[in-house]
Amino acid sequence: MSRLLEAPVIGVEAFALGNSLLALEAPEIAGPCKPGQFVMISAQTGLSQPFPLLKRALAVYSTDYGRRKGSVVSLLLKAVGDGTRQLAALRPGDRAELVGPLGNGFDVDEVRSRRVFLVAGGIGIASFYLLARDLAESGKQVHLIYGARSSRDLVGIEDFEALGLEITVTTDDGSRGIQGLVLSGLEKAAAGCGSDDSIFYACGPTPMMQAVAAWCAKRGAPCRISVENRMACGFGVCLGCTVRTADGYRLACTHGPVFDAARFEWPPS
Amino acid sequence: MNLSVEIAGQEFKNPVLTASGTFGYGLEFEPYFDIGRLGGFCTKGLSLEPRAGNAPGRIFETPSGMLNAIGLENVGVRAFVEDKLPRLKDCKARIVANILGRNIEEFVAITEFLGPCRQVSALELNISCPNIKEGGIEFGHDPKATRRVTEAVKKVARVPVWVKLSPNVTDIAVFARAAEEGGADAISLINTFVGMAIHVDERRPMLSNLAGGLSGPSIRPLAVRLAYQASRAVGIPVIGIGGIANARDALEFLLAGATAVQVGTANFYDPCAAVRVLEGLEEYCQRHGVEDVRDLIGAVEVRPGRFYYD
Repeated sequence: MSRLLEAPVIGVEAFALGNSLLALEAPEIAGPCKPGQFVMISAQTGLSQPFPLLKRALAVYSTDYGRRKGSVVSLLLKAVGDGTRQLAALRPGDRAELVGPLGNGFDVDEVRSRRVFLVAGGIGIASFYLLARDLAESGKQVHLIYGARSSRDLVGIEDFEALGLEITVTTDDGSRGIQGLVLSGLEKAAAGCGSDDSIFYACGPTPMMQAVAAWCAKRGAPCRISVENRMACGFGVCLGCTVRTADGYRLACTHGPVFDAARFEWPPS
Repeated sequence: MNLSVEIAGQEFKNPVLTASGTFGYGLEFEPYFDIGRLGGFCTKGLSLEPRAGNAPGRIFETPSGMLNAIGLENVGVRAFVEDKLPRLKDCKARIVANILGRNIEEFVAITEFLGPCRQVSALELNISCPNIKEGGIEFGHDPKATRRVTEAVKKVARVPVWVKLSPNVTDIAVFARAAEEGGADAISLINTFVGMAIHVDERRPMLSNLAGGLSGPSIRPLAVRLAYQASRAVGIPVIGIGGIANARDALEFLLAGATAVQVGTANFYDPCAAVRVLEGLEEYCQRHGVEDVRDLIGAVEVRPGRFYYD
């Protein structure tokens, strides 16, 4: 069940390009949190008219931080506007206001004996850590394809390396791994994979997810995407985060944020 | 200390309600607080048939507010009665069904459909949604039509009828009186102000619908003034809506002449906002020795005096 609460910041790590990791002690949210779920968060607490007014939706990256296991909500964020800049400026001891866990997350039961390919673009990696950890712990074969602008921007890659996954890296500038888009990494990593023996998960910029979805569709392979959208509430009330699917309009919050790529209708560019 | 108020002969245990379109069907808030503590809540606007709503690109945040163009997405009145109401059978808050039609016949049909539902305390006619092309707003922007739709619904309604007014008019008093003349038992105001925002890099509107309804704290002073004007134009109760986020905001509306208030956009960013408003109201009454919240209704004193800096 989702909760509204104030939580103390216990760790902040800054990365290149305005990316950072924010860790909050919030056992009531971390406890029930499943891979792929998200929180709504504001750096302002106790205000009836905060600025910005609305909380921001961020995927829960991990529920561990250092020696604290399962009681933490850690988030990867990119400072792009007022709300995320305030979040990036929080320091240990500051407090933030959270609602969560929200959304449905990934359905790990459908993996069965399939090989799992996680395809992440940039900060989209945030949706995958809990999924990768759970799958690795249950002995599944997991391959991460991670694309970023340069080697400095591969946020969190050490965490995934520690899980013992196979990892293929692509960078725009070739400073690490394959030079090029994440799709070239996918093509190399999943070359011989068919429709029955593999499942693909994608999270990142829309054009990247769209390319991965098209690649999977050509092979008839199942592909799940984790989408983001503007939302005011995160729990199915404002009806603002609608996305188009073959089944009609769906809410990114309560119906998603994970969707079957084959039934997802991409927004016009 | 009495917090209860009376609207059209019905007692509400306190004057704090939640606004249509910001509170789903009530059930969505059960994880966050006991909704039975509220005086009542207004459902998402119900149409005769389910509505899918507008294309994606429905909301955009603005300074202390937001624009929305949801387009009245709702499950339809039948699904509300069959799926939602049974799950609210133990709800201690009064349920106000917000209803909308494309024409008078639809308003009447929805009213008749809800007739046997004893859980529904009152109807709120949505004649003020700015986000759909046909119907709805036509009734809110022509006083004759406001009166006609109110009369038609009143003829078949078994519960009190509230009429929710649009602020996008030149004189709110004209519409408040039109609703009263049509037999409305109360008026609620305001719905959202029509607004627009533009993405300057893309050079296109932020909302797929081009324009949308502005809500949130930024509209509150506009709403307080309209509630004040409307309450002085009619004899029926006024329910104040517009950017209420704390008890002081709610008190402004009560003092301006509203019998009750509805908390709206604040529910999105603080799912406990309505209950915080209620707690703050209780605290205010204790602090100021107010024994009956009804003594506050319309109690603003228009007199020369000093300025306040808080």
